[in-house]
Amino acid sequence: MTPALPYYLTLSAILFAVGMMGVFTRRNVLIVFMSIELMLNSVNLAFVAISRHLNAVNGQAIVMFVMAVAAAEVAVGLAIIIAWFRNRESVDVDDLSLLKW
Amino acid sequence: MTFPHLLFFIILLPFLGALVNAFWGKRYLREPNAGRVAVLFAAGSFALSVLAVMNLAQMPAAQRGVGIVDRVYPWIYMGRFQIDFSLTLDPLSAVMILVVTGVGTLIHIYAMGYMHGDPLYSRFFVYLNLFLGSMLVLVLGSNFILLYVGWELVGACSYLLIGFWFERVSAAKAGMKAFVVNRVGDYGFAIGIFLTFVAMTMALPPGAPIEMSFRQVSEVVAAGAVPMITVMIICLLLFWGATGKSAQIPLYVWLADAMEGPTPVSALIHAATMVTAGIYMIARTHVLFDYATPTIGGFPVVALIGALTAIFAASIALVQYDIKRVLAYSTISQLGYMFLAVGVGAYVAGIFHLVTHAFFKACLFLGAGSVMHGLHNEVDMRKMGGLKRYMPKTHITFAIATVAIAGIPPLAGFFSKDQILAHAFEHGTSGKILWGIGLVTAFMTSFYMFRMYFRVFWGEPEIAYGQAQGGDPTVPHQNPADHSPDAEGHDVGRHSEAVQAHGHGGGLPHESPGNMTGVLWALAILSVVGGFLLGFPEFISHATGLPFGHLLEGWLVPVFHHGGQTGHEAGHLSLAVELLLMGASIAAALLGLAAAWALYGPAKAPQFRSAQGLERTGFLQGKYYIDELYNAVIVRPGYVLARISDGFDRYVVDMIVNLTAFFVAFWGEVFRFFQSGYLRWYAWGMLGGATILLAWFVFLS
Repeated sequence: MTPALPYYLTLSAILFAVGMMGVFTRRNVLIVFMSIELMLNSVNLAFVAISRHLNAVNGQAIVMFVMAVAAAEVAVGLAIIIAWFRNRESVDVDDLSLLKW
Repeated sequence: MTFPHLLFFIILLPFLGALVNAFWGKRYLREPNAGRVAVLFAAGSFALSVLAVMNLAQMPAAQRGVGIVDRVYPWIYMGRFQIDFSLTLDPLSAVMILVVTGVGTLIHIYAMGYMHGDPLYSRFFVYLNLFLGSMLVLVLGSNFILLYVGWELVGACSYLLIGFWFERVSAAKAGMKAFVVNRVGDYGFAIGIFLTFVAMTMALPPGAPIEMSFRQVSEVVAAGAVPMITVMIICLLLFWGATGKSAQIPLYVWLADAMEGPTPVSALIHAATMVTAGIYMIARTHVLFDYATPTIGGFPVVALIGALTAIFAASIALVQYDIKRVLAYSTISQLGYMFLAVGVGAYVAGIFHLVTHAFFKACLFLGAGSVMHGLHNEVDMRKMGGLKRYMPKTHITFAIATVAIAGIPPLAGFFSKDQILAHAFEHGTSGKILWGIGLVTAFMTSFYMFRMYFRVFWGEPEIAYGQAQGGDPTVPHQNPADHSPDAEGHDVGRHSEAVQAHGHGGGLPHESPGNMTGVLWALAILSVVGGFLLGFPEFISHATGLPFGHLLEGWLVPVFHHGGQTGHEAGHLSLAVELLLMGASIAAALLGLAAAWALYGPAKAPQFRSAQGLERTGFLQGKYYIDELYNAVIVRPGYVLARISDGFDRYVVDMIVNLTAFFVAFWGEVFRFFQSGYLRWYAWGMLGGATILLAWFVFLS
C-alpha cells in the first residue's frame, strides 16, 4: 500500500521550504543555484504525486518539461557564474548588484 | 572667344579667391601675398567679364535683349516650381558686372595699401572676394530666387565687413544695425517674390513650369495675364526691399553707421555696388513697374521716395563734420536720384548715374580713406585743412571727383544728373516738382562737397596737426558739437594701433603709397571721361555734329525697349528747353560752389568756419533725430517685447518643461528603491508577489 497523497505533498512542501531558505539565506551563488534545483524538484514531486492520485498523466508530462528546462537553466546559469567568476573572482550573490540604476 | 559656362566662371573666381585666402591666407600667404591673390582673382573675374561682354556686343541687337544664358544646372524642381541655377548676361547685367568687377578690382588693389599692418589682413580679403562673388550672383542671376540669394549674400558680407573691426563696440553695433534694417527690407522683398510666384501659378496655364525667371515673369505680366492690382502690390513690395538695400527713406538709417567699416568697404559696398542693387532690381523688373502705371510709365512712389531721400540726405550732409559721414549721406542722396530716375521710367539715365556715381563716389571714398591713412585715422574735418600741401595726389583726384559729383561739365556727374533732371521735368506736372527737388538737391550736393573739399584740402586746420586729439583747451575755438560721439568714434581699435605701430602716429600728414594713389588716379580719370564717353546727350551731338553719342542708351535699348516707353533721351523736349534745363543744372552746381567758397573758402580764417549759422543748427546736426525717433518708436518697444518674450520663455515655457522633468525624476526616485540590484531582494519580491497572488486565489475567489 503506497502512502497517501498528503505525505507526498508534505514532503514536497518541506523540500520547497528548505530550497527557499537556501535561496534567501546563502550568499554563495552555487548554493543558491542548488537550492533552486531543490525547489524545482519538490514541485516535481508534488506533480507526480497528484498525477498518480488523479490517475492522469498530465502531471508527469509537465515534470518532463520541468526537468528539461532545469537542465537548460543549469547549463546557462553555470556558464554565467563561470564568466562572472572569471571577471570578479567572486561567487557572492551580493556582488551581483551592478544592474541597479 | 568663348567657352562653356563662361558666366559661371566669372562668379566662381572670386569665390575661389575667398576659399584660397580662407584656407591658406593667414598661415602661408600673409600680408602682401593674401592681397595679391585676392586682386588676382578679382582681376581674373574682370577679364572674363570683359570677354563675356565682348561676346555679347558681337551679337545682333535683337538677340542682345535676350542675352547670353548660362544654364548651369537644374536647381530646385518641385512640381511646377522649376528653378534653374541659371545666369543671364544681357546689356543691363553687362553694365553691372563691368562696374562691379572693374571698380571692385581697383578697390582690392587700394585695400592692399589701406589694410597694411592689420592683423586680420587676409580675412579682410576673404570677405572682399566673397562680396564680389555674391554681388555677381546678384546681377547675373536669371531668376528672382537667384537674385534673392545674391541679395542676402551681399547683405551678409556687408555685415561682416562693417563689423570688421569688431573690438570697437560702435563697429559691432553698426554691423548689427545694418543687418537688422536690411532684414526689414528683405522681408518685403521676400513677400514680393512669394506673391509673384502665386501670381504666376494663377496666370500660367495649369501644368506649365514656373521658372520665376525675369524673362518669364516679364512676358506673363506684359501679356496682361496678371491683374493690375497684383502687379502694383508686387511692385510696392519689391520697392520695399529696394529701400532696405539701397538705403532709402524710411530704411536709410543703416548706411551712415556702416561707415564704421574700413574705408575700401565703404567705397566698394556702401557706395559703388551693393547699395545700387535696389536700382538694378527695379530696372531688371521694369516691365512690372511700367505695367502698373501704364499711362505715365515708371512708378510714382519710387520717384517720390527717391526725390525725398535725395533732398533729405543732402540736407543732413550739409553740416556733418565726419568726412565719411558726409560721403555716406551723399551716397544716400545720389541713390535717391537714381530712384527718381527709375521712378519716372528713365531707366537708362538711372543706370547711367549708377555707373558714373560708382566712379566718382568710389574715388571720393578712397580719397577720404587716403586722408585718414595719412592723418592717423582722423575723420573730423575740423581737424583737417591745407592738406593739398601734404597730399598732392590725393588732393587732385579728390578735387576731380568733387567736381564730378557736383555736376559741373564736362565731368561724369553732370551728364547723368542732368539727364535724370530732364527726364523728371518731362514727366507730367508732378515731374516739375520732382525736378525742382532734384535741382535744389543738386545745389546742396555741390555745396556740401565743396565745403568738405575746402575744409580738408585748403586753408589751415582749426586744431593744428600734432596736437592732442579731442580738443586742446588752449585752442581758442570751442564748438559745442566738439564732443559729439561721431567726431570721436573712429580712432580707437585695432587699425589705429596697427598704424601707430608702423610709425605714423601723430606728426604731419603724409601722402599714401603708390598702389593707393594709382587707384585714385584711375577712378579720377574714369570720373572725367565716364560721362561723355558713355552718355553724351544726343540732342547736342545732333545739333553740333560732335562725334559723341549716348553709348549707354544704344547699348541698353534692347533691355528697356518695349511698348511705347523706351526711356528715350528726353525726346519730348525742344532743344531750347533742353538747353535751359542744362543751364539750370549748371547754375545750381556753380551756385553751390560759390556758396561753399564764400563760407568755407581759403580766405576764411579757420576759427570762423564752424561758427557759421548752418553748422550750429541742431536739427540738421542731429540728422533730424530720425535715429532717436526710431529708437523710441521701434527699438525701445522691441526691447520691451523681447523682455516679455524672455520672461514668458523663462517662466512659462521652461516651467512646463522643467515640471515634466521633475515629475519623471520624482517617480524615478520612488521606484529606484525597488531596484537595489541585489538578487535576494528580487527573490523576496517574487515570494511576496506569489504569496499575495496565492492568498487572492485561495481566500478571495
